[in-house]
Amino acid sequence: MSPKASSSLYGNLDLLILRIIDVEGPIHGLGAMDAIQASSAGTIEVEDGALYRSLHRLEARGLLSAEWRTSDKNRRAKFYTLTKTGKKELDRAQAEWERHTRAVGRVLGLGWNVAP
Amino acid sequence: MTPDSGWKRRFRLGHSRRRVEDEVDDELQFHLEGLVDRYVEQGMSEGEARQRVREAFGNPDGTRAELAATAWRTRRRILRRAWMDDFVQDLRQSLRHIGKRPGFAAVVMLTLGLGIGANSAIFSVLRSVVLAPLPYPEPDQLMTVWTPWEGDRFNPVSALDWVDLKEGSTSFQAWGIYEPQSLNLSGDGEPEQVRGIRASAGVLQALGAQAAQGRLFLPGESGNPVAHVAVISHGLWQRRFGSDLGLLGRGILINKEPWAVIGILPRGFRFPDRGGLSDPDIYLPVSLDPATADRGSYYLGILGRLRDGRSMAQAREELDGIADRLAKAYPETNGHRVVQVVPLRDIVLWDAPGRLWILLGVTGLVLLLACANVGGLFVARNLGRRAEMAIRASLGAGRGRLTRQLLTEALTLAILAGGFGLLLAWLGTGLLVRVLPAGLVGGREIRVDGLVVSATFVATLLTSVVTGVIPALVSSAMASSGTLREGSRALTSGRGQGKLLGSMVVVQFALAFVLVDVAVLMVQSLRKATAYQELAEPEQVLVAGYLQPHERGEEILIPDPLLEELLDKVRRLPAVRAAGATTTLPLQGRWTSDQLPEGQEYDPDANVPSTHMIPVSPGYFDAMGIELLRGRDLTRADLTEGAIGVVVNQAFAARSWPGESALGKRIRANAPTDPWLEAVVVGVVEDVRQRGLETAAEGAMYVPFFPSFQQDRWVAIRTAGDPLALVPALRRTLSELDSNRPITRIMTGEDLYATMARGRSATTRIFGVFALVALALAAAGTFGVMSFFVGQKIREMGIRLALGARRREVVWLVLRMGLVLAVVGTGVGLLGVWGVSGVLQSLLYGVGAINPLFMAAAGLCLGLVALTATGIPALRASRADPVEVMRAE
Repeated sequence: MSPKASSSLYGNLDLLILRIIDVEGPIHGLGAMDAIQASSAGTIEVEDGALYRSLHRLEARGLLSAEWRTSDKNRRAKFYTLTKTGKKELDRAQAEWERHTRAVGRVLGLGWNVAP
Repeated sequence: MTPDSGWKRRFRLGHSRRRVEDEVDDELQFHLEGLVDRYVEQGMSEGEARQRVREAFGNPDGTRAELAATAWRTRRRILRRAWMDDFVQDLRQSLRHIGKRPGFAAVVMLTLGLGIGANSAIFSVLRSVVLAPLPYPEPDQLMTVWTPWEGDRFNPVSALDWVDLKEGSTSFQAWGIYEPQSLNLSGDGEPEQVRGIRASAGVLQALGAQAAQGRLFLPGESGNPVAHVAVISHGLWQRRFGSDLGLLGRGILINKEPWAVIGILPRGFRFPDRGGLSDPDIYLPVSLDPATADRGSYYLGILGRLRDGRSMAQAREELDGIADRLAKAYPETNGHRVVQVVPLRDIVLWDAPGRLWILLGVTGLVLLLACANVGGLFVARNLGRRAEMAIRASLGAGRGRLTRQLLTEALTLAILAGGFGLLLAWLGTGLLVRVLPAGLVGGREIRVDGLVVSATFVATLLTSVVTGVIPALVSSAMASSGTLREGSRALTSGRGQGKLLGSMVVVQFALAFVLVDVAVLMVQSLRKATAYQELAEPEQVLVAGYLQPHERGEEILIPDPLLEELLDKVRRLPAVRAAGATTTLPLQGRWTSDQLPEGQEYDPDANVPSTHMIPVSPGYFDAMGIELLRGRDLTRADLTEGAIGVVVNQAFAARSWPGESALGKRIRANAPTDPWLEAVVVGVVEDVRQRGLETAAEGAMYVPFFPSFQQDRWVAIRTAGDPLALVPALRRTLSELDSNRPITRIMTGEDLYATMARGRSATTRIFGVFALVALALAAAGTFGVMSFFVGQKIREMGIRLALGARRREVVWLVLRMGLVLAVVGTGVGLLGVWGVSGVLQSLLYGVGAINPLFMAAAGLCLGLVALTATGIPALRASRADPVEVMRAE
């Protein structure tokens, strides 16, 4: 992923998904949606179509792997896990995001541009 | 369970696009149902909840399609990845296995490589020479016509017979007559001798030739008088005339007469010849005068193109009818003369197909041998690996997985061998080209044929797969059914497999026996063909050729002052012991004629054996080293009209006057009245072969005159020192006499023999190489299999030794096993030799195809190989330490 693309909306969503899956372990799409909403305290609502497109894209790039398992409600669901490459990409994108937002913050004169 | 293995399981269920779409639907379904449940829990009715979820999702079809496309990409990526992973793992393991047993790998590679290489080389040549069409349009319509005596073949046609055939036949859309003729080209630079063709317009037309510049012959230009026009080859035009277009219409000096160049043939045009395609430089119209021509003088070739829809059989039937009419009209010459129609292709290929098919048969044997060998090796090795297979199977390796790994191993080896084989094929093709007549190869590109290589490669691939994998699977099945339980004690070779291995050794010995026997026979033939040199001290003879052009005519007593003067001058050169000339070198007879010896009467129904007519000058026998047995050499006085003196060879004398002296006997041409030749025998010389090294000498007459149609002059000079040192003086002498006369060829008497033996010695060398390869393969195979047997029986040996058996007895036990296999193999080989003896005989000279002595030699040879290949494992067995062996239990 090029640094520029990482600052787009899709980039944001991809980053969120990678992070959530890294934290929550094997998880299905609905679970990931809930988790993002919960950990952002309800601020970020993910649109269903965009969520699945992102999941599949990440899987196609080899950042996620998937398998079918039985969910707690006894239904078959597709569970996603972060791959090794996915973990690397997450670390890279996180650092990138941090640098970027810090720079934006500095420009906007917001007070949280603490020195690293 | 790792996520990957979950995916892998799924692949087995099928991975169609449809499946992928279903999965996307399942995933979305799960999502939407989850949301619906959630809303229902919050108190909505199910209908409302569904409505809400559907509205929130937005463009479900587009999303679904997009997801399916992405999922499909993912699926394919994973599939590739998984396959590659397994492949890399298998490959790594294979290479590790191969590395662990470099000897095994080397033998397999060498064996298969030789098989692939030899077969590809020979079949490549077959395809590019024999199976390739002739380079003319619709080549299958091209026919040659011959007029042999009943029961004979390939006799050229006489000018008068041609006129009658041509008038009576409608089978050909174009046909004509031709005669190869060497020509002296002078003016415009150094004089040189070039290859020429005298041809009527129909010949080039039948071949479909088109002029690149100018035009070809018109029908009226041949015959009498002959038009002085010439068509030249692209090569000559480039080489001698610098591709000058101004040459058209200009005269060039051919045999010192001006001929106008009217056309230039396209680059690469070739003229068909017996045994190949030649590249003549100049084409002239054939001259033919029915008023003076002799019906009994056969020297013209007929070449024609059948009319569309006419078959060869129809043409023959029609020509037979004409021949019958001619037989009645001219019983003396045509009474027993028949017409033979032969496809041009058979004339061009001549004996090459036979030679190549035999070679292909031999390499086929080697390939079989190689396959048997590799098969044996794989079987032996897999038996040795049964324990490993059993352990792996018991550890849960599926049968499929084991198969795939064995397959990869066999394939890896086969591919390595294939690379090696390709290299050999490339080298072998070069070697083969030397065995073929130059004319057949010349102008055709012979390259390693891709299709052939792939076909052979696939064949060996199948062999290694069949021999490398199936036996292993059988053994792995046995392994899982209890080998382990029985313990290593049960790991001796099964009876069935022992038989299989044994029979592979037998097959190898049988094939090797055939090849060794053939090689020995070939070497003996070569020895027979070259050992006998009838000429005395041929290395002391210089032979130089030039051309004495003359229009074909009836006159036979033509003075040749140039030759006489040349010989006089040469005899005066220092170190010259004798000098003479001929038109026809030993081993290369050409002109034959029917001659009646004294005591026989003319009979039109009798088939008089033909006699080689060899024009020579006085002094020729001394110079060439042909021994005069009785009477005297020819002299100038023998040229007197009406009492021409001739010398005959022993074969002629013995055939004509058995038990009587030939001296003073009369000979005349076979005709009822007015024979063209009446002669008296003045001397008898020893026999010299006329038709190459591999035929017996036939009756011959040495005549003192040089007829008009014999234009070659070969001067033979016997020298005291190195004959080649005389060349500059000879050249000077000839150019002093005629500066327009080039010397065309120079060789020694020894070269005469060497040239004739070239094809045979190359073929013999190839057979020799094959025989050695076969022996090496048989040795390697035997060694491998015997080592394996010994490995299996080492415990038995140890026990025997512990029980007090002598080492010698143990050695003998093993040796006996190997020798029995060798003897059985040789027996099968004997049957094989007997089976191919018919084909074989055609390759041999002076030795029968079934020769007990050579068979014994071949058998002995194989016995030694068996002894060596078995001896090493036998000695190893005898050193088996009883204690060690028992402890290993």
